[in-house]
Amino acid sequence: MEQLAHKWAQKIGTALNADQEKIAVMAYGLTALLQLLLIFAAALLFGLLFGFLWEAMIVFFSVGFLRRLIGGAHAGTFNGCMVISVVCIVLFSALAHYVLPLCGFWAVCIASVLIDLLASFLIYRYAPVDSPNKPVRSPEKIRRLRRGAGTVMAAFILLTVVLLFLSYRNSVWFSYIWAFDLSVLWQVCMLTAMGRRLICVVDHLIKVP
Amino acid sequence: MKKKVLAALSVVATLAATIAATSACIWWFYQPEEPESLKNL
Repeated sequence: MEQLAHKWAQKIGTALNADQEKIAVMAYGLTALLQLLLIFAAALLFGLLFGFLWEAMIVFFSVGFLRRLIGGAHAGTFNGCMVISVVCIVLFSALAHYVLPLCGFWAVCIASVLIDLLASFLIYRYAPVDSPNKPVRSPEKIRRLRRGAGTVMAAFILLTVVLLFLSYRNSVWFSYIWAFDLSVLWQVCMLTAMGRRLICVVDHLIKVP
Repeated sequence: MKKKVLAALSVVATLAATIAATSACIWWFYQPEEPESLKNL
């Protein structure tokens, strides 16, 4: 897929007489767009097929928004990323929709509080976590990303509180809160050494080129 | 007409690259190597 993005960028760049650096920038942008669109399409497809569309969308967007600011462990290849992403989305959405709402209101309340506390601590302690392909060194950029992560986390906590109030009267909201909680928990675990090791092991096991 | 479409695609791709460059990560689990010109964003 990444090679496809490079191929397209080369074609566009050649037609517009762009230099190699501009072509590289276009290839990077096309890779980003392809990744976003393909994972979104997979989330939409599985969400519709298995009846957990809203939960899949919550997982897709909440992990994405948080990851953009705090970084975390990465797969070694584009296709490996696709496999891990789709498995995560399907697993968390299925758990949030079919299994965890059975635990009741107080379970989701306590879990939300604990997950939000843990997430806030891990983000404060570790974020942003960069990767060799995209190092984050500038102190100004680090400060900006941490401020953004704090804002997004505050928004997530506020949204969770609102959903908890709504779910007190109507349990249909439980699955959305669980989808949020699982997304946040998963993403902040990816900041830790344990999370990086897990992705390494999964990458190695699936061995997608 | 073809050149206009390609130019539009080039703008969209460059915009996506610039937005991705200002973050810690593109979106989910894959991070391709960042071009030199985007490293200081």
